[in-house]
Parts: sequence; C-alpha cells; structure tokens
Amino acid sequence: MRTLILALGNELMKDDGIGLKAGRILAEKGYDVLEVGTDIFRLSNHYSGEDRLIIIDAILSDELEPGSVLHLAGEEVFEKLKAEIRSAHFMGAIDGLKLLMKLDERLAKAEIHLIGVVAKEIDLGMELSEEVERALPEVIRLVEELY
Amino acid sequence: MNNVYLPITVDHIARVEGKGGVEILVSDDGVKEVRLNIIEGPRFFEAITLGKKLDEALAVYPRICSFCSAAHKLTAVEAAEKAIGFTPREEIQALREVLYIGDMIESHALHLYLLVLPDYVGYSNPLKMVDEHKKEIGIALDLKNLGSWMIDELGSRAIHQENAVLGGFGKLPGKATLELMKKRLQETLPKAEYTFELFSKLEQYGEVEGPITHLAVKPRNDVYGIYGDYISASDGNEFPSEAYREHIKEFVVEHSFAKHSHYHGKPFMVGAISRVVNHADKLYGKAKELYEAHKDLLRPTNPFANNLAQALELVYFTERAIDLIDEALAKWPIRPRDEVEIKDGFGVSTTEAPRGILVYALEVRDGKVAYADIITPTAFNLAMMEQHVRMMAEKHYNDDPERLKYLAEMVVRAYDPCISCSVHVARL
Repeated sequence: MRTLILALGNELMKDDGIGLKAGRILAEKGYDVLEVGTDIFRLSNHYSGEDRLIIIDAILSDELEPGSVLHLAGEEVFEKLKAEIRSAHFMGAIDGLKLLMKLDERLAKAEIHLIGVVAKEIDLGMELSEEVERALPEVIRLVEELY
Repeated sequence: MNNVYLPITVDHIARVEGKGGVEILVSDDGVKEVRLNIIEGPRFFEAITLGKKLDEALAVYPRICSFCSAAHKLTAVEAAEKAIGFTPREEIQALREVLYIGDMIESHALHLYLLVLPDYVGYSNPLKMVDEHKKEIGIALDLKNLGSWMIDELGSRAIHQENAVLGGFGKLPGKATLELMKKRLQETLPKAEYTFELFSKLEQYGEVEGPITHLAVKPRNDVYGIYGDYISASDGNEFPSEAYREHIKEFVVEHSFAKHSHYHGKPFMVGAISRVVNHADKLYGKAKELYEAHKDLLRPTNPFANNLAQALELVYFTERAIDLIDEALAKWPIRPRDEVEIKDGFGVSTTEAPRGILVYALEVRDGKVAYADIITPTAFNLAMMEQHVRMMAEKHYNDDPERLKYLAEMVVRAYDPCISCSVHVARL
C-alpha cells in the first residue's frame, strides 16, 4: 500500500506551522511528504494514485487542551472537522479535498487519515507554542505507525 | 423627516480573497450610503523593511500576499534594481515574465471558475457545483496547476519565491524543463480558449454601465504584457511610473483600513479590463482574434467585463509565455545571474499584477532600505468598486435585500479584490 503524507498549514502563523514542521522531520527520515501549505489543490498536481493519505495539520478546539494530538480516519475526517476558510482562493483543506475526490476516482477510494494538533496560538510568528512543540514526537510516532 | 432603515449588510463577502464587507444604508429617498469595509495590511511591510538590508527586505515583500507572491517579489526586485542602477539581460527579463505569467494564469483561473462561475450556475460555492460542472472545475484546476508549476520551477516554490534575486535568478531550470513548460502551455491553450468562450456567454449587468477611467502600465516594446515604465490612462494621458504620486492621490476613509485612491480627483479602475481598454492594440495571436470578434463585450464602461478580460488574458498569456520561453531558449545556455553593485538610489517599478497596477517605490542608502512605498491594485480599485456597488444598490434597493446583497457581492467579485493573506486551520 502506497502512502503520501500531506503537510498542511502556514508556518508564518505560529502553531499553524505544526503540519509543515512535522512533515519536514518525516521527509528527512525518508517518508514521502508533500508540502501542501495553504493550498490543498497542490495535491492534484502531485497525486499519483497513492492508496493512503495522511494529513498533518493544526486544528482549533474549545474542548481539547492545546497540544492534544488527535487521529481521525475515513468519514470522521469530514464529519468532525469544519474547515475554516480564511482565503477563498485556497478553499478550506477539507472542502478542497472533497472537491478533488469528486474529480479523481483514485483519490475518492483512498484511505484518509488526519493527525491534528490542537493549536494554542494562530498569530504572526514563526515559532510553535511550547504545548504544540511538545506534541511533535507524538505526531511523528502516529504517522510512522500508520505509514 | 425621512426614515432611515437598518443597513443591508454583508459582513463577509464570500468568494473573494480575504475578508471584506459591504454596508448599504437606505432611506425613503433611496440609497443614502454605501461602504466597502475592507482590511488590508501592506503598510506593515513598508515599515518593517525600513533599515533592513536590501536582500533581506526583498525576502519580506512577497509575504504581503501568499497568492500573488510572485507579483510582489518580481516588482520589488525590479524597483530595487532600478534603485541601484542595474538592468537585467533580455533573456532574464523574459524568464521573469514567464514566472509572472504563472501567477497570472493561476490567479485568473481560480477567480473565474471558483469565485465567479458559481454565481452564474446557481451555486454558493465550487464544491456544490462540482457534480454538475466537473469539466469546468477540472479545467480550473488544470490551469491553476500549470500556473503553480511554472512558479515552482522558476520561482523555486509555489509561495514566497526566493529564486528571483538581484541580478537575475538564484538558479535556472534546465532546458528540458523549459521545453516541457512550453509543451504543457501548448496543451493547455484549448482550455484557455474554452474559458473565453464560456465567459463570453455570461451576463454583464447593465445596471453598473457608465464611464470609467482605466489605468494600466504601458507595456515595453509595444507588446501587451506585464512590465512597463509608464502608466497609460483611458483619458489619453500618459505619465512616467516615477510620477505616480503626482497623478494618483491616496487618502484615508473612516470605514476602511485600506486607503482609497483617486486619479486626478476621481475614482478609477485597474485590472484585466483596464489593460485591454488601454492596450488591446498590442495583443497578438489568438487573443487578438478573440478580442476583434468580441470587443463589444469587452466594454470599458462595465466592471463585469473584467471577468471576460481575464479569460482573454488566459489565452493571451498562455501564448505569450510560449514565445518568451522560445526567446530564452534561443540564447541557451543562460547565465542565471549577473553581479550587482549595491549603490544608493531610488527606483519605482510598476507592473501589471493579475488584479492591476502594482507599485513599488524603494530608496536604497548604504545597502539598506531607506524608503518604501507599496500600493496594491485592490487599494487603487476600492473607490471605484464602492461607486459601482452604489450604482447596483440604487437600481435594486427596493428588491429583496438578499437579492441586493447577492448583486452587490457580484460587483465586488468582478473586481477580483485581494484583501488579505491566508491562514487556514480546521475547527473541531
């Protein structure tokens, strides 16, 4: 089973950079990682029929503590997450992924996982909060288990 | 005494780049006031680069916009090169223009198909229309992917490119990559033509028809394009880029974080339709034929014509990029970069970003930025945009408020405003 890791987020916005930072660690370890950033449509340029996608991204939650790591799979990804659209040109990642799945049958059949880290701060800055930084090893472990 | 009713408001205009709102105040006498409440932040960038080394500042400017970062980068680099008295070689300039065209193709494709088209086919967003309009969404992504791939190859990455540097490029793609780029552009041309055909059939609302003064950069060498050293106005006036402050005045309005601009005391428009109005005689190839056959639809009097003008440019710039790549290949192998000496000086670059004239004025002293002024096309357009929303409101204020909101949003979307940068997170 071929797997592609999608690193999402904006590293200029503090904890929103967790997906990219985790993605770079995994890429250095030799895993197949695509840096999507804030543009989920980049996936359609690079997707070559992988059977499993693992998305790493920051999430916001009023219930979970900052730094909590969450693993969602399959329909849960779409049911539980409401993507927040802050740039209409780049649709929210979840809606954008749904759109791509409607255009590509292989993608529609792929197994989708999301490893989300609850953000503490989404604001201008390159650094992660302590809580989110501490979550990095757990994110890497979960992705490696799934891969 | 006349009654004034609760304002009709759109807090967040859907399907535009960033966040903005519209407020329409109606009384018994008709529309009292129309406000476009818009937040934009480029002025932070001017301030934070003062005193920075020139190359560091050039790394900061593209961060103004994640979507048009190539436009910001290339305009800033040209302003800096003008300031230090450096002119890039022709083949380097040609490849920079190809990089810029990647930005243009990506931006126009997404605007037309994902932001504008849903209005015309009766859906609130592209996800809802994909089942019935797979072909169109597929074309949008093919065009967008071609544009972003061109940016990747020439700019080093999709967003905030570092590869355009003082003196040329950090490194250049290989000949085989440029030949592949040409091939992909040729293969994509029919999709650009399909886009023009599709948009030529869509309604342009007559309610907002009226005189508009259009400003556009006068392209170099009499070929329709992006770079130029003069600004042309549709009133027949022309002035050097350096004199932009003498002709265009920025001013603060209470309801917007972004300043408004007037040209000779009046609102004006920039963008694809403004380029076509001022410089259609410099088009060539398939785009010239399409322009001649449809110029009645590319009217200077209607902001909705901006959508069709963008579709025309998808055709034009696809062909233009092929020719520019040929120009570069004719001089292959190309040295990516010339040495530059950082001298003191002042430079102004005016380029045509996807949404219209982008101005960068930079002063360099002792290798550092001593002055920076940046004006984005959306800031230029705000006053005119507000006027057109008002015209639409004056015709429809007695209609269902939802209908008025929808039409007001469509006017704003026709301008393709770029309001802020992006961050995206998911909410649990």
